[in-house]
Amino acid sequence: MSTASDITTSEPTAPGVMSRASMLVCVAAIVLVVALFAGPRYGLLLLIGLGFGLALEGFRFGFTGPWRRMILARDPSGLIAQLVCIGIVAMAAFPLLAANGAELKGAHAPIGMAMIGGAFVFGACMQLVLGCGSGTLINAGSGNAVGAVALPFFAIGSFAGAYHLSWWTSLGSLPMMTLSGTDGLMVTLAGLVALAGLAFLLRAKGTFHMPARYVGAIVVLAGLAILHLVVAGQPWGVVYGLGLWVAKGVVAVGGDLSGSTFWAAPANAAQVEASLLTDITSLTDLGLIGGAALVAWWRAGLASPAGKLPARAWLAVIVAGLVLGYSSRLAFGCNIGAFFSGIGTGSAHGWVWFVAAFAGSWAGIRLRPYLGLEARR
Amino acid sequence: MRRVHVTLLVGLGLTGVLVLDHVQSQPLNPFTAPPVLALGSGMAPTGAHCAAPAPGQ
Amino acid sequence: MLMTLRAACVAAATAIVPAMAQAELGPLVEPSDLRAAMTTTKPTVLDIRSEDAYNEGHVPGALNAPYGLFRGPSDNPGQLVSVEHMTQVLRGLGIKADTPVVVVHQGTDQTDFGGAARVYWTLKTSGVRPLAILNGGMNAWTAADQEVATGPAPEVTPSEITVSYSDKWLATRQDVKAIVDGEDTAQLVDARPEAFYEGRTKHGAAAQPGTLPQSRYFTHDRWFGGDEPARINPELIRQLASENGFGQDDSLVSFCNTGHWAATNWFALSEVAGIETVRLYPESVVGWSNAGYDMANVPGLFENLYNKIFGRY
Repeated sequence: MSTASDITTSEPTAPGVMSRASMLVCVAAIVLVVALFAGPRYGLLLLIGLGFGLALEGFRFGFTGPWRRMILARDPSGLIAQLVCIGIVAMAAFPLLAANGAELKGAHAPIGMAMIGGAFVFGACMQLVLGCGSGTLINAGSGNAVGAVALPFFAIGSFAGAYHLSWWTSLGSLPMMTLSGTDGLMVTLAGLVALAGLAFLLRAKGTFHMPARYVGAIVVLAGLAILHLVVAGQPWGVVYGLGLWVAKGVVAVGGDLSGSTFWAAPANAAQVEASLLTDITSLTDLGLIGGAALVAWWRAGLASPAGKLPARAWLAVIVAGLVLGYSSRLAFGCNIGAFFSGIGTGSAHGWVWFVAAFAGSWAGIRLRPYLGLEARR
Repeated sequence: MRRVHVTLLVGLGLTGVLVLDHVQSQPLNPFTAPPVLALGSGMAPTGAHCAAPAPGQ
Repeated sequence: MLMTLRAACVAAATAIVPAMAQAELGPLVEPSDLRAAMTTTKPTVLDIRSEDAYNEGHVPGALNAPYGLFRGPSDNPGQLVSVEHMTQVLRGLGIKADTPVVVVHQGTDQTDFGGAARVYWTLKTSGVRPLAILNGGMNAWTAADQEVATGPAPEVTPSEITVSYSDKWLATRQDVKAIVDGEDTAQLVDARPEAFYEGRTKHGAAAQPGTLPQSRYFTHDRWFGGDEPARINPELIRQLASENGFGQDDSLVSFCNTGHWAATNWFALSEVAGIETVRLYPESVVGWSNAGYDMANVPGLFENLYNKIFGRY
């Protein structure tokens, strides 16, 4: 005999004021502990990472989804929002870098064969997993099973990609090309306007809309990215931290990293031995995951069921995660490190990354139905 | 399996990573921590970034 | 009357250099006295400034031995250099155990004097004597219109000296640990300003702020008169020593961050005030803190966070 109280409501209830307040106190306490034991800069970076997570999940703003919508539905809104955000970051980052070159550095990397190939493959896998670098972290944090499964393999791939990086770059890369100063900023902004204009012209009728949440996301993300540069001395990045976690694990089980030019380099070897709480990218990654989880919990979204996919799809997710991690290292960054921070701080490789990754995304979207990730079109 | 379970598992995994790291890495020294802001600190940036060129280049 | 005056002068001279009746070159030498000594005792004049400063003008016949030659690595600048290194340096300068040496610094301020004091201490510990510091450095030399030479250093015949460090004026890390643990009695004297002693600031290479346990502080710049920051006034030093509880029979260990300011304190207490048992702890707080030993006046976590945010260190 069932009574009304036995029936579970289908509408999940948001956490109450007390729960929310306690959760905020907990988060503040964690940030304080990091600041006390590791240093105030590191506490601040964790807080910035939380901010990124809150903004990306809270405003439902990402990188993978907008590209998918542009390719499938010719809806340029999200893509244009990304480009505007990068433009705002550039307007602050270029002068900062030009005036403070000794204290700040940009996300500069050389263009090369492997870099382009890596970006293309990243773009494809990004659509398979429906998550890029930041996207996978956000998904994992907010309870998306695909993101959660992809994350450890992303990390393994990132470690392996970094391990072999010197071999890949030896296949052929150009000398570093960067844009700097007022001229560089003008070129960057012109390029961003041109790309946005092109996307706008290609749109399908009635698709373009710039909701308030996109504006919010643009402002908050740009602000946090500029703050990140000022605090850390380098722009926002995602993938290095994940590979570092695996590198530490390898060392913990007795592995030897001296065979890799990358991991044996003094700076990286020192970071493997130092506490995770002193690595910039690791802190923002932890914050990203935490911020996404916090928003999902706040909105009672965590009660909904996790995704169910056929076995073939899970295998594809695992492989895609590995490939995402590996290719992002060859490409010298993911959507954040290369696209967002690269273009925003004047690296030519960011532009090449975008073109290659966007082309890869197109290919990845075509591939999805064959892997059981969605119904055939 | 609900999303909250996935999130908790991810959280558990990360906590494990942090605990293992704390056990095996060099101890934290809050006295030698870097200044709050890199801007104006007079110190060269020492962080690692994916877009940084491979060592030896 | 003349006899008593002469006796008083001799007494004053032997008071300055207690055990060294043979040495005319006291711990301090004035420019005019050095000029005179250059024809009689012909001391080796060691200019511890940089090569550029040396080339611009130096005491005639002086050799250039930049301060860095006597200092340790960047993560422990106060570390006493190895006997092998010191042997090589002194051989290259042609210095033997009985070579009179006069150390010449720039003479800008109290901290600059500390460099000369540290080199003086290093040479004395290496067994070289007699030793002296040119009071007021090159600044006093040029102000006294003494002849300044330019051009390359004179030729030296390398000496055959083999250095071994005396432990009479040297306190090692183990010695200091014995004092802190109570196995040995001596007074630890911190030569740094109060902010360092209280743990409100720290040296960049130190692992944590604070001072050695059971120490007292006597900031190095107090030995100098207010109007002459670069010159030593022996009378003032003896007066300050007795006023501040530094007794003739005290056993003292002088330290600072890297054994630079501490050398000034050591010089004042040992060489000028004539206290017999004054030792220098060369690696000082930087070496001690990185070795992980206990310290006093270390700020707590919250105070450290505050200090970090407000850039105190």
